[in-house]
Amino acid sequence: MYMRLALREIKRSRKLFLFLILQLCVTFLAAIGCASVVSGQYWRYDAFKSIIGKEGWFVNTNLGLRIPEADAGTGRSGREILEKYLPDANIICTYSIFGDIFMDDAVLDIDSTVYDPELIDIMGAETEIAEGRWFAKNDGREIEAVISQNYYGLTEGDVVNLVAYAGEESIPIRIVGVLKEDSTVIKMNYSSDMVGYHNFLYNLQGDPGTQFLILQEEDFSRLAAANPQLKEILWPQGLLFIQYPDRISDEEKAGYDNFIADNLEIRLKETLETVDQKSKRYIKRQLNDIVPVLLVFCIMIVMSTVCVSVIEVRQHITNLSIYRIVGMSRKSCFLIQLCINIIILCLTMAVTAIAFIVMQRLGKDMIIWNTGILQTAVCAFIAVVWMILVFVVQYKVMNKHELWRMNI
Amino acid sequence: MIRLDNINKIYNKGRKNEFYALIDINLHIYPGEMIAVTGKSGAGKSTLLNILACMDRPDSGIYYWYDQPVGRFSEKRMARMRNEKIGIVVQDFALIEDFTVYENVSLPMEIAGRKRSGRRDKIQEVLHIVGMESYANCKIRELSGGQKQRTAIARAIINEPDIVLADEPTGALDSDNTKMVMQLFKDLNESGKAVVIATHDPDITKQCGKIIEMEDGRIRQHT
Ligand SMILES: Nc1ncnc2c1ncn2[C@@H]1O[C@H](COP(=O)(O)OP(=O)(O)OP(=O)(O)O)[C@@H](O)[C@H]1O
Ligand SMILES: [Mg+2]
Repeated sequence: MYMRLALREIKRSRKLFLFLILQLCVTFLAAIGCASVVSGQYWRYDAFKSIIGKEGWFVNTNLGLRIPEADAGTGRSGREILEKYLPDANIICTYSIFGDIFMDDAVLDIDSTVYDPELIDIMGAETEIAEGRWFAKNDGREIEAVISQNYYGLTEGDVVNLVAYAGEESIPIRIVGVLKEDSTVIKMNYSSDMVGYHNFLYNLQGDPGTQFLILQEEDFSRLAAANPQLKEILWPQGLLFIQYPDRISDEEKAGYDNFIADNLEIRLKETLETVDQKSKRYIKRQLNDIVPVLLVFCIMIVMSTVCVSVIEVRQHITNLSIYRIVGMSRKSCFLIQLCINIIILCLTMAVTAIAFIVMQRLGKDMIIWNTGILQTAVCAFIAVVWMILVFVVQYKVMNKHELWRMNI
Repeated sequence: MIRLDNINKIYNKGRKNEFYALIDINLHIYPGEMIAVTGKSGAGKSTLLNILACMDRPDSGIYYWYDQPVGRFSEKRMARMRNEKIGIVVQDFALIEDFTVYENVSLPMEIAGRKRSGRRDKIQEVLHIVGMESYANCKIRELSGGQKQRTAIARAIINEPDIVLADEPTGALDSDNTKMVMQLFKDLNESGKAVVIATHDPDITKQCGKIIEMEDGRIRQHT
């Protein structure tokens, strides 16, 4: 019966309730947006955490490396040389290829980069594929690649050929996927605030003239057993993370540090610790920019909905006191009010969900709204705070003595 | 049936604007009585009726309902009193405007937990008594004042109360409607219910068997 009476009250003042629902809905959406930004940034940082959360160095080798034995003819890949001098360090990097990519007989003007598996994994979660797929477990005889939107018309299933500068043999590369136009890849991204995890992410939309070919180092090392040349044509360039082992003696560390200082021709070098700190600072600054604004916004709307709900309770307090005259206790009248609030909240959630889905459909590419635990938790928190706040205020209003007399 | 023992009601107790609305009220109401409560505006008539109706509690004194002190009743029991034992009629009708006549009259039975099927006949019966059966499906806002008050009376008696309390029931009505409503009260009284009417109208006062005249929160005269 309470539900039925509550529903009738809602129907009666439906304009006011519509207003209330819209207000709350905006609050929810703002909160979801806020939570999405927070969790989105944190999630990206978290992806890099296993790389930058250690002792060691980040080196930007955009200009290439100059290290001992680096001159051609040693028959070794740059990585192997690094491993020889830094035997206990773990190296994670991107490589350029000493070779050209051919389509039929023409050389492609394409920015091809080979990634270590750790980076392939991070990128796999970040990028969006327009056609085909991202890298999967590959144990075939072909090297796989993912390509950006390109004017060669290359797409999923096409095969291009890699020919090393120092060889004639052509190695087939099968394209398994095409990136979306605005995908984010891992590549050094200069900004005024160096160097945090955000400097490793690069949005392709910022550079529409360049085509990217992404390959995985795994394929090269697997096939290198049969064709050693494959390993030698990879050269660390771009991002280079040198992780020191967990238990490194001071002596060994000093040795490593010296090798890096003396031998790597470096454009930018930072300890991983600094990168981690700057990453955290970057997240914090991002949040400082956006969270207070959204927070104030949410508080203001919640406040205003509380005011509206006072008007609302005044509108049907007459009916509530009539229910009391004919035999309801005051508690039951409050219960009706509670039902009204609960219905409002449920309706709001439904409207929010619909609005959310519609917005995701419409603005697919620019959407910052995501669903997740944090978003749900924030919404639940707002819902609870709203319920309590509104009911306390309404209770105060309703408790005014005169409202409950016979002549109203 | 009802006995009031030294009832006092103080509004805004303990504050600057403290106001003694009822002072040492002693009163007996017997079954089947028809009582008029009169007095100037502000004399305390409505305050008295609110207490009799279990809408409000006195600040001191004892209200006996068939020898049971109402002061001991819980909120819930008070609500059940209003629902089952006491019919309430007020000047501005206190009807739910966007419910139909039928729904309004049905409300006390719903609150009492009566089944839908069990309600219908009784509602038809009381609507017949007040002459509103042909308006059962009209919304309240489509009715005239007299019709509204007859609906309110139907609602007041739907659960067969022992007493009907009416606060200025004709205050918003013209003379024809006043007559009709008073006739209803007299009929109710004849069927054995006690009726208490607070009013300014001397014509109404004349039609009641007992008159309580109030002044400044006290009963001045009892006839
Ligand atoms: N909730 C309240 N708070 C403070 N004072 C009140 C309250 N209700 C009534 N009063 C005061 O108590 C006195 C008695 O009020 P009451 O409504 O009982 O008078 P009444 O005899 O019914 O008058 P009327 O004929 O105008 O209806 C009035 O002076 C009124 O101002
Ligand atoms: Mg009055």
